[in-house]
Amino acid sequence: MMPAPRSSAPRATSNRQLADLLLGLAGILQRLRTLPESHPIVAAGVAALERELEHVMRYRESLAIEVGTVQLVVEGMETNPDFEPLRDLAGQLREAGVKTLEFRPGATQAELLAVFSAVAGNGNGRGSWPVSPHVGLETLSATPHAEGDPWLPFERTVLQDTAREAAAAEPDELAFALEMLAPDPARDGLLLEQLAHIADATSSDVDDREVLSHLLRALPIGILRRLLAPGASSLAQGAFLRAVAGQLSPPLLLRLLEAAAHGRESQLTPAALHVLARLARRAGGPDEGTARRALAEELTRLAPVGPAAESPGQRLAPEPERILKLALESGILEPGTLAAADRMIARRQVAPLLALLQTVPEETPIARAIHQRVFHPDTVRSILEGDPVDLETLDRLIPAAGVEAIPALLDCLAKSRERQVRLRLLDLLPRYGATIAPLAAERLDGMPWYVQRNLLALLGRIPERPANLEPHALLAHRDPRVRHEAIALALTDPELRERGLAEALDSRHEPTLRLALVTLADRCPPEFVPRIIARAADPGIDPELRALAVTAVASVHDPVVLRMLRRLVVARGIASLGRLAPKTPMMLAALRGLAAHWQSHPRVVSLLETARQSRDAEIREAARPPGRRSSGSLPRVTS
Amino acid sequence: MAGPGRFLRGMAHALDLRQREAVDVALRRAADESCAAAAHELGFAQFRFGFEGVVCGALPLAEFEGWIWAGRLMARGIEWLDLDRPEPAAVAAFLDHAAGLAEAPPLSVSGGLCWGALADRPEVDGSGYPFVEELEVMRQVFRTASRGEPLPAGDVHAVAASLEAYGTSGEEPSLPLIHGARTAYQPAHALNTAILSLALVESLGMGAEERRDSITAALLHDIGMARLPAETVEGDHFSSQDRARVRGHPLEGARLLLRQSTPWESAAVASYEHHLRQDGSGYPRLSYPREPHVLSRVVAVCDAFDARLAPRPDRAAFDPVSAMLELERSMAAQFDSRVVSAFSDVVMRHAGSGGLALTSRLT
Repeated sequence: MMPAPRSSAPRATSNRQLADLLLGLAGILQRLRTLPESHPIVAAGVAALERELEHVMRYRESLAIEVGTVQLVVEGMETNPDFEPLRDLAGQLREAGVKTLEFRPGATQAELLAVFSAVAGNGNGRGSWPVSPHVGLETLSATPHAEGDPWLPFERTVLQDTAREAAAAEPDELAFALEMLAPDPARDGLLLEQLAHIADATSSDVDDREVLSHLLRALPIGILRRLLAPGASSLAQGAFLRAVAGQLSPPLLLRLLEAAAHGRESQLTPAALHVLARLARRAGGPDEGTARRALAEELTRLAPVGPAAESPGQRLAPEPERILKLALESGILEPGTLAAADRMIARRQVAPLLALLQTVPEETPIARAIHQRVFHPDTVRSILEGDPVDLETLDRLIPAAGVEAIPALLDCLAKSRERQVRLRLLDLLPRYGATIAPLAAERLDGMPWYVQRNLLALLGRIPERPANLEPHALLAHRDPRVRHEAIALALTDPELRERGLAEALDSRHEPTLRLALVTLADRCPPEFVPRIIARAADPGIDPELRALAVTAVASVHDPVVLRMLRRLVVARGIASLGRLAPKTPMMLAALRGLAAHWQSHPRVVSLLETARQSRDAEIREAARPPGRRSSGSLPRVTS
Repeated sequence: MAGPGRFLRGMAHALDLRQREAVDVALRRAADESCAAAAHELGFAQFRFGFEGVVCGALPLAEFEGWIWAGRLMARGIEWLDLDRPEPAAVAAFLDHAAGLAEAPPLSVSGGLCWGALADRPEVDGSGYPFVEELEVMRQVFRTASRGEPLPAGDVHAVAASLEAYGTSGEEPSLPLIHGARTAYQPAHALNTAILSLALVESLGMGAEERRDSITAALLHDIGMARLPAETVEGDHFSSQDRARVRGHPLEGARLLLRQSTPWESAAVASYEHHLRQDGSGYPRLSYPREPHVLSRVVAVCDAFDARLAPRPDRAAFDPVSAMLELERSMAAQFDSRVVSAFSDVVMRHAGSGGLALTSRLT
């Protein structure tokens, strides 16, 4: 049994876990579009989603996912719009009219199924969703963009005239109408999206740009502040600010900057605004471009566009190892220290991080804090996601990462295509003992063949049999590799052993047949004799295996067995009477069987005597009683 | 901008109460305290009052357009108000004056509050120096750092943006440096180092991202000095204890910069390493021998150069060319020769053309 982690300090979920959750969600929606809710594949997907959610929600009270047209925003982080599965997911949710999706801890499979069935079946609508205490859906209030003139949808929303067919309003009129609209966060988000769309679509048109500028100038500062207030739709705000940042005049940029800074005092104080205001005043002269760029940069810095992967200045940014060395040698334990450690982990520089940790006393606060982050399930997950997997580091991490690392390890074992990784994990995982067996067993249903094979191989190495393991169906799995592992598992279970042996002896999969024959080598129940003799006689099977079959059956005192053994040892034909058959693996196996189990039988004594006088040393050796054989001559039985 | 609004509303409420008779003293006191708390929370701010409303910094406050108290304050000769975490007593004195309950001179400076008529507003003695406002912002940044509070990231970004805009606005700009009084040395030194770094990274052929990073790192490289006691920084003679404290400023700076919610890693490294020598000697002492980061090397040269331009108790100020020659003499042991060589080109070019402007004093 492995120790629990030293401390399970709350820690943000890794991006990878969030990505897994989103991918799981994408999979569910896709399945629900083509399969009925009751289909086992759907059920397995929902179960997996519930597991991912449980993991992600462990330290959260809620998780909100905003839905854009081509991407999602999860806790301020935008998904990559070029990553097709998540772009499709955003599209599907958007198409179904979902604006925001919010998870709270405790979502059950039934809830998930009910909600996402409704979403999947609501491809063209603005649906009414099932009420769920743990999964909330916010609906889009209107169609985001109509085709054609980008101003038209904006005018429809502002003027609350959905039947409007052409954009014709003056900017002052639109500004006044917008000011008159009652505050509505959903509509404000939509308006910003529409403005962003206008800015994008009209970036090359000077007249249109002037109309947009006019509108933004005409809007009272209070309205701009409301639209850009923290806590409102961050996706729409980010899209809007990014879209307009490069298009507006410096004074207008400054006005937006002031509005966006409102309520975000910690990021931009009045003194800073003062300096930026002077920058804006420089506009109009040769500094226009510089001032505009500086203001646009500040605006996009304020815009809730999600954290950059790395700080600005990538090329010169100090490497995280340098930060950690600095922190370790001076005892600076601050957020930046831990962020540097996290970055090393994210970059899979765990080996150098461990080397650094070894240079400081383990009991110092900084060493303890970094230790907790390194010996953490997320680190194990990160290592497992490496290509190739750093097995040496993994070996060092697993003993201290605790049981929380099990899901990640099982995921890797289940999905890894690298044999070396699977074998190492099969060595490491059984150390978790009984803890891991039920977790592995619950993942079996509905998984692809290679996942099932790997999980069964693991279960076969754990002495404890989990209560939730039902290998019956897997004994008849259509893939021989899954069947092989299921049979191996069955052979260790007294209730399933007989059926397992029967399945294995009938198998065309030679490793499975070998497994059964090796198992039977010590003690073969008589009822299997006909099956084994049939396999021994099968010319389509590897001679070594056929010899193994002969060995397995030789101990059964049955005339049929004796007949078979003699036939393999004695040469055929009248001219060959009394002579030994040509030496083959099967002939030698039969001879060993006769010497071991039939040596006093009248029909065997002379045969063995003849063999013991053979010129062939191997034959002489095989004909000796087992106790007098040299050890090197025993038949090799391998699994 | 909730802060300025809250302060102004609190001020109006306190002034209203002062003008009413038969108001409970406790109520008035509570209003004063609320106003003082809002002013303290606001930190550094500058207001101008006019008939059209209130301007905070350079921004008209839309919600105070036509604010009745702006006109009343003007009538009392209060056209501007600067505050920097004022003391409650100063706020109460101001409120009394603004409400007409007490007389005060046209210019009153006490406990973090300063107000008066525009005609009497003191101008900074730095004629020709283009970064007076940036200097004021950096003062505020150092004040914040001295209290151990999180640095106002927006302020630093704004100054960096302003410097970058200056440095990239066309032909090679001059290098306007300034020497602060002893009490204002650090903010001025931070700006000088940033201006010099900007020119240096341009000379080294680095790109836009490096430029911005180097400006920020230079602005904050000595932020750890803000954590030292005033007597250590401003004293004429260093005791061994003072010296030990000063040698701890790189570490204090790095600690402060890594403490930010979005850590300033480049600046933290530059702060930590700018007194390291090329061979790893210098301070702080390294447990993991390494060369200083390139940003640290850039900042180290600019820092050393500007330090030589300022007078010290034990020596007079160097002129730029002498400072550069002095720097080159110690180059081999202390600095990256490539960086010093590029910096020498920058200084000599500017010194030759009169582009290295030294403003000698700032109040």
